[in-house]
Amino acid sequence: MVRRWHYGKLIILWSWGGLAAAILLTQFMAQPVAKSPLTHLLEIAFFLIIVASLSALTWYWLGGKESG
Amino acid sequence: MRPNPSFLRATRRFLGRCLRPLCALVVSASADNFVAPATSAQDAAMVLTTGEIPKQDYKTWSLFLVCNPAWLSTDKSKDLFSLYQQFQNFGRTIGNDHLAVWFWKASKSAYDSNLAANVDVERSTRFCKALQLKPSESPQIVIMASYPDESDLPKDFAVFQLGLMSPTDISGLLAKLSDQLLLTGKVDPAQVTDVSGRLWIRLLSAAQQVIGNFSCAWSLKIATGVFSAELHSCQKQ
Repeated sequence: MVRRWHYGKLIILWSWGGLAAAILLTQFMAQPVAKSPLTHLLEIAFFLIIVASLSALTWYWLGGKESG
Repeated sequence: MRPNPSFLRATRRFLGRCLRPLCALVVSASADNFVAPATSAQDAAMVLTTGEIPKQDYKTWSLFLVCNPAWLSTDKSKDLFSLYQQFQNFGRTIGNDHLAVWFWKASKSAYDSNLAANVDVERSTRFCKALQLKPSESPQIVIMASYPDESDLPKDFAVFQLGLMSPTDISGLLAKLSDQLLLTGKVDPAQVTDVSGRLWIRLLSAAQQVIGNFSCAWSLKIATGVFSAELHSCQKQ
């Protein structure tokens, strides 16, 4: 559980999340969708979940920090 | 002259009761919907276990592969028969330059109640394994522009999964493939898959295409005094 906001934590999260998202996107683009539609659906879904979660987390943590 | 259908039916009933094992062979040699081994001038070849895929001057070979155990169960026999009929129609409409191939174990009636038992699954499975195709997504149509030599399969081929498609979708896909083979002599999977499959598959394909086009549109150049590098995302063909 992260109790205090810190830039370093966001950097770590984005690094790992970005790596996972990049791998998923590469997999998604590697083969035609028709070859394995379900796998492609899972890959793009997890990619979007990771990016959306990290964005939401960053947005939430950084909310109001600019004034402090 | 074609024999009277009712006479044929009555004859078959009689033969079935009396001399089934012996007479099956005679009937199989005379009726239309029977599995015949591959011969030269065919566009839909039923290749038997021991037979080789015809190697004449074809431009493409379309292999119908059944590797999925689910398609061999009795409740799928109607779908299998339907697929076989669609294969025959496909083979007849793609022209003389192209060959459709279906693997059988032996020459038997296509109306055989145990049709699945006659499908040469073992040979299909060898192809599926060599081409890295998932049996769960079978049946598949694999279209190759080079001869499908089992000991040295071509690396360049197009695959179309039929396992999750309805008979109507399969008909649509085969019609599109026939169009391309007949008119252009080759198959472009991107164009065919756009019209085949379900809506979510088409949406995924579209998303893939958009991302692909976008990722090809940028390049990164780093130039310093001693070092310079240029990174291209991809090369358009």
